[in-house]
Amino acid sequence: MKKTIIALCVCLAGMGGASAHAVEAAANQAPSKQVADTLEQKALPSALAAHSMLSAIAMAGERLVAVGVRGHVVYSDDQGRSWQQASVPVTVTLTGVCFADAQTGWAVGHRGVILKTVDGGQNWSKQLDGRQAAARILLAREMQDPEQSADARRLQMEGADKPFLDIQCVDRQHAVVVGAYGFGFATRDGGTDWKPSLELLDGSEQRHVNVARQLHDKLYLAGELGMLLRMDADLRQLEPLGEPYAGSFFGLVVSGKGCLLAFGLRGNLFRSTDAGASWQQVELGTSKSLTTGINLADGAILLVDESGTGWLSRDDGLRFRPVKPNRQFPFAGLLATAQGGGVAVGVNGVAFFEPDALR
Amino acid sequence: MGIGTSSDGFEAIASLADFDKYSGNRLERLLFNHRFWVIGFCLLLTLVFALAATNLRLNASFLKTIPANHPFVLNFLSHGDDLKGSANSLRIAVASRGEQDIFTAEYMETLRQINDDLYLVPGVDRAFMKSLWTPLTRWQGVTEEGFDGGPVVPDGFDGSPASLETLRANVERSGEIGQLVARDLRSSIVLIPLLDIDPKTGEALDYQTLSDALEQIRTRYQAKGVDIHIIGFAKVMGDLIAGLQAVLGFFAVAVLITSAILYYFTRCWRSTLVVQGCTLIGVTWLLGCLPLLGYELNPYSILVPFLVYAIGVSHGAQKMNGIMQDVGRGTHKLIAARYTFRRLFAAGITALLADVVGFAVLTIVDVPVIQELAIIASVGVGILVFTNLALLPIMLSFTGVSAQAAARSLKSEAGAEQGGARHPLVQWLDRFTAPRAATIAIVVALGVGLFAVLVGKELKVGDLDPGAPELRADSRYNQDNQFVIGHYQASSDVFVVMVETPAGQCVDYATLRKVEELEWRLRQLPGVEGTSSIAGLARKINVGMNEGNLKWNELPPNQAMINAAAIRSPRELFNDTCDLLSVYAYLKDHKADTLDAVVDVTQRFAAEYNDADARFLLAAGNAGIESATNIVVKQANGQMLLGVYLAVTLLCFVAFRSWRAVVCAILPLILTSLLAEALMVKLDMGLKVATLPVVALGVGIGVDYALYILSVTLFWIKRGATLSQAYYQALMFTGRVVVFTGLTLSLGVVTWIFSPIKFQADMGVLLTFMFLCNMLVALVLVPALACFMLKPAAPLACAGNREVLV
Repeated sequence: MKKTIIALCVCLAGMGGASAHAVEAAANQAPSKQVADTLEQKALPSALAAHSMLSAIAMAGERLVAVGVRGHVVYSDDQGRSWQQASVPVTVTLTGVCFADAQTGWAVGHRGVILKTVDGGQNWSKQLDGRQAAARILLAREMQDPEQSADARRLQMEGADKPFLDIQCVDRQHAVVVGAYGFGFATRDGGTDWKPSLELLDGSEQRHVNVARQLHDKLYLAGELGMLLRMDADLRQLEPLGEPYAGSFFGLVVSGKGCLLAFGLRGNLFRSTDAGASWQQVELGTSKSLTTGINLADGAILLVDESGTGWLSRDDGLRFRPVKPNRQFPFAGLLATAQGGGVAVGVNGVAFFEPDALR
Repeated sequence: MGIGTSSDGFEAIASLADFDKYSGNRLERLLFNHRFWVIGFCLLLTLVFALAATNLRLNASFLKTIPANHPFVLNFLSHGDDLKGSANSLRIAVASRGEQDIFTAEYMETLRQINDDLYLVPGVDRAFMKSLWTPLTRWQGVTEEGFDGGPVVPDGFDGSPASLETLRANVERSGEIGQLVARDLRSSIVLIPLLDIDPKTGEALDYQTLSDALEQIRTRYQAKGVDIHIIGFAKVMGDLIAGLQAVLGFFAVAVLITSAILYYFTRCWRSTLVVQGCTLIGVTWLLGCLPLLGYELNPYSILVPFLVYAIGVSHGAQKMNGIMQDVGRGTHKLIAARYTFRRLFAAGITALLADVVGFAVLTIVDVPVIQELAIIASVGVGILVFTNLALLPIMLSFTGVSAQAAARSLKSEAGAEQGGARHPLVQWLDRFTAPRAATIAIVVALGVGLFAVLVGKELKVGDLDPGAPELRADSRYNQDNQFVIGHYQASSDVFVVMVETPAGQCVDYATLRKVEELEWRLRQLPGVEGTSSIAGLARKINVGMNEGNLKWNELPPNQAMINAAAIRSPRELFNDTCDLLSVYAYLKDHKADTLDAVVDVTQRFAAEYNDADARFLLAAGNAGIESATNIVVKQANGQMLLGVYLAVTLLCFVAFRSWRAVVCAILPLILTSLLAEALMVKLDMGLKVATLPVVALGVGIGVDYALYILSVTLFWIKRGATLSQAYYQALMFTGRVVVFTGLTLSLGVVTWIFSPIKFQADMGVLLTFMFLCNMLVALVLVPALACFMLKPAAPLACAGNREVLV
């Protein structure tokens, strides 16, 4: 199915990128009667922002910051009881957020958007979008090998229509971004320069990279069609890990004891105690896809499935039991609270796994 | 116009021989010198019309209740075929009782039987029927290989615990929770789309037959341990038609009540029966006229027979009153009938004309049901001119009245004329001709009027009750509606914005971006609970095509991807030729504020973004149509009040030739109109298609009272009587009748309060109030105003008090 889409895109580009280009051009040139391009349109302040689809959540010091559709970024200084909406220069769906410290953070989203904040998530500015991303890939490719730049040119013609899906903050200067079709970018200078990872682009076989997590000085990437990769902290030196499963992975958890859990489609969960060299399947007893997971404050591991049910393990990921949030709906993001609970975000906004429900 | 007391020049003649058969005007001679011919002719007409009346149909056409020429409605009608998609369908929720969810063998078996029974109901579009048991209902999931799916009820389902578990899992991944299956998993829906025209017979869908078939199924299966809730436009129609039949029963009650009142007033069965007979003949003619003129009775126009009947009875009573008094004085019954005809024909015509004016003004409201009501009512009142002004006196000239009753009718008058005790009520009313009481009355009226204006400011436009506003809030239908809204993602108030695009370009990215923008603006409104469109669906499908990963919730600027999503779209989001998109806004209610806000946002958006590639048009869906109706009703209300007051003012001026008298007649009416609006506010009634005509009807009929009272009062004032004397004469001659008219009119419509149709009950309350209140203010305020406004020849008229009287 995935291949069909890619084929469609390729075909479209082949027939004459004209059509795709026209879409982009129409959006870009914005004749008076067009609504603004989502890359240029400021997110509309809305009371609904905290109740609409949110896809990721992170902690900026004491503050909760969640990102979602229509460029929504909401933050809470009272553990999620009330939310304010941040000022964001785009209206694309945001998919990932992370903070290097209480002030500095990044968010990523569709159409190749990377946003940065230096005031703890209240104001955001755009550092990269899909057009610039495609241009940088083309530039990098031409420097590497001009003969191989056809794909990169096609990418540029297709315009900004592909999403980033996750971001990891290493420190205030250093962050990495991964996304659809094997896109990856990394920065070492706080985002002034985002460098594309041609290694990931080439090594991913155009599969979506759904998640990136750090263990020691390595990044672990998981994604579509069984993708499990290890790369260095700048997204170079790609190392395929054994692929124990042909289906897609949506999430990775690095346990407190350094154990890796990769999970995804139809409740498939794999565990590695040797930094990804070998994987053992863990039976969960659900056929629902597992979407995301975290380490809780007390070292327990919490995963959620697509129906919004939580799966809790207190033995480093060997056995899990179902737990319920206060409001159940499909979740896409999770965050551990200092009190030992979890905050989940998803299609209807925010829900909580109360510490009591996890005992 | 003539006045009926012994001193007004009509001498009592006991024998026909002493009477000049050729006296009186031409019309009188024509009618009374050919009495048998007239009766024979009327008999013939009655037979013809009675025969025609058997073809009269009851109907509740939705299209007639909406403003046919409003731009919203024109837009809706011009795209009617494309929008039909899912419009006319019924949802039948089958709920298990108690705490049990639907995953039991018994429930699934009952559901299967209901499903099969519904399949056989005529009018059901079987191919598109949907329930857990129909093959259309499938689950879909993503597997390692791609999409996987199957029917929700697994093949070989046998009700065993294992197959029920599979069923539960299938339901959970079918995406039907909130759609076909309730959020609490205790009920599920059978969705039946309806065929407006039966393809086999070519006949239009019969809502009543359909509704009856559904009620049978409901009764049968409620006995088997499930609750059944049915909602949908067709069911509302069925319930309305059933309600109409109940209302017909009210007519019989109204006839019985007025007969009793009439008898109480006259104590004469003979004349009571003649008055009732002639009036019912008039109603028969009216009902016979309707099919001949191509009209049907709808829930609005069914008011007309009631009104015509009540107006007929009150005019008949007046004729009878006159004849009775003359007979009482010893005049022969034929001569008495001719005298009464002579005296009252002109007054009667004027009063009926005022009624017709009140009705005719309604035709300026651009809503077909109101226009129809106006025309039918005008016809009905026109018929009364024959039956009650002409036929009735002729009938009475044959039957006469009972001597006892005739003597009785004169007694009170005679008593008063001989200086004896007046009726205490008459005495009390007479006080208002003196300045002190008159001042008090006017000040009180001013105060009440001011209060009414303040309260009336809060008058809301539109329907204020939730659910189907046509039916009562506690009706079976609205309870069912409440159930479905409470357990499913459903709203009974849908506002549809139509988006016109060049053919084949309805899903262009640029257009969908606009659609999204509009949807998001609408969703910011407190009255909007959600929206849906192909743009929203494209986001969902984008997620689905990426293995259900929620982070793909975006409308990408990728036409290939959008086209792929469009292929999976249900029909109601865009049309076959892809030049029309529908944007649905689901509203919390259909109150005017909610609708106004939606209209406002959409219109501003359209003004900003409409271009050759996408034109946003208002409005379809029940809420869209209702917003158009509100706009028209609000506008029409002002025009209509202006029109009706202008008309009655003119009429009064023609009748009285004195602007002072006109003021006396009109001001009390205005007070009643204001009070009626205040009452609507207090009773939480909105200004809507049903309540709009009431004020005009009230004013048109209400001016009759002032006409009766003032015409007599002026007659005597011109002859030099004091106001008090003149008013006394008016009360004695027409006052009784005014009271009687007020009562008959009110009683004619008061039964409506019990109508199962909500807006008829509203009309009943308001009309009853208008008729009674108009009567009271006419009796109290007309003399009070006259005290200051009417300065007769004699300077002592106003100052004059009871001592001046003989």
